[in-house]
Amino acid sequence: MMFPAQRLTRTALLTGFGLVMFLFETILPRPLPWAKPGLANIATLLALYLLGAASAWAVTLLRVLLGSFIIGAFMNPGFWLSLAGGMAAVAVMTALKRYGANQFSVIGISLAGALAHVLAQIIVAGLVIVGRWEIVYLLPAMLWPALFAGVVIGVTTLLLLEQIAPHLLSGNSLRNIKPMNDMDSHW
Amino acid sequence: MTAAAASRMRLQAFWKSLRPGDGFIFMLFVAFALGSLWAGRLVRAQKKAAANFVAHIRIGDRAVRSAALSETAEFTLRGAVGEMVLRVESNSIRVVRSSCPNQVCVKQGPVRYPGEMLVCVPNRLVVLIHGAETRLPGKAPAPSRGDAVTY
Repeated sequence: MMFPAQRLTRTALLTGFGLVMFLFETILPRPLPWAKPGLANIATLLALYLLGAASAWAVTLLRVLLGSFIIGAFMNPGFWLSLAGGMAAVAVMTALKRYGANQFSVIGISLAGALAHVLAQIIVAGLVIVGRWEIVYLLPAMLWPALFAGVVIGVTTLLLLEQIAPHLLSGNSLRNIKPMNDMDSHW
Repeated sequence: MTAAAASRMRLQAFWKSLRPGDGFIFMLFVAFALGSLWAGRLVRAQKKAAANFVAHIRIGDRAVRSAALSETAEFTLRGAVGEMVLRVESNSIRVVRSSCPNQVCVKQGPVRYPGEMLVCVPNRLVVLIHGAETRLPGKAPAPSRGDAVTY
């Protein structure tokens, strides 16, 4: 049984984790300015699976907001792109998790989130910021990296869930994490 | 349990953890990516076509006529061997009929972009497509005599 305080602290923990991932990404050199791996989405997915949709929303929105404060991009064009992408991704992922009739693993949900993220960003960039619909030329260059990133993030989250889900759900301490070769864990 | 067996079991468990919806999302993603490539190409082609390219038609040394590719027209020309019919339609130009023996020009099909050519060697026909900028005032494309024509 999860107590509100426990859920609150774990949401905060995952928000901090997502924030660190987000800041780590801004340091990474990128061949294409828009091609970020989306490591922060790991935090959203973990929150969605371990704590529920409300926590996933909180983790995402707080990460976008606090991240923009830290890198000084609050209300920049990039901030609106982040916000639109993050909101679209978390909306699609929570909907698939809730109404997907158990037909999607975390990898499929991660991919759907990546797709929603790219599409929302391109729509906002095309309609609001650039104001030219020729921005669709960028779509392939955004979608292929996003496909790759979505799979990587999904597999990473799957492995993380396998390792920490039993502990978080049972309320045990995270210090008792099982070794990697233990097979009778939850996938 | 050996390390190899453990990793094999992990892999099996991994595949089992995939759900049918994952493949669907993956295919949807690939479809979007391919579709956007295709849409971008389509838009680019339309923009190119809208640029009002012009086909300059020469027979031997003589500039016969020019035709804007945005129009629809069909005309008959007298080549070195005999008559030939050219048609301009849907932003392209092609040879419909020719009196030449090998029909290479007819089989070539339509051309539509600047720099592309239609050539009929027996009839000494050369159709060269120019971009819009060559039609700017004062810069009318001089019918080039070519460096050399050999056949």
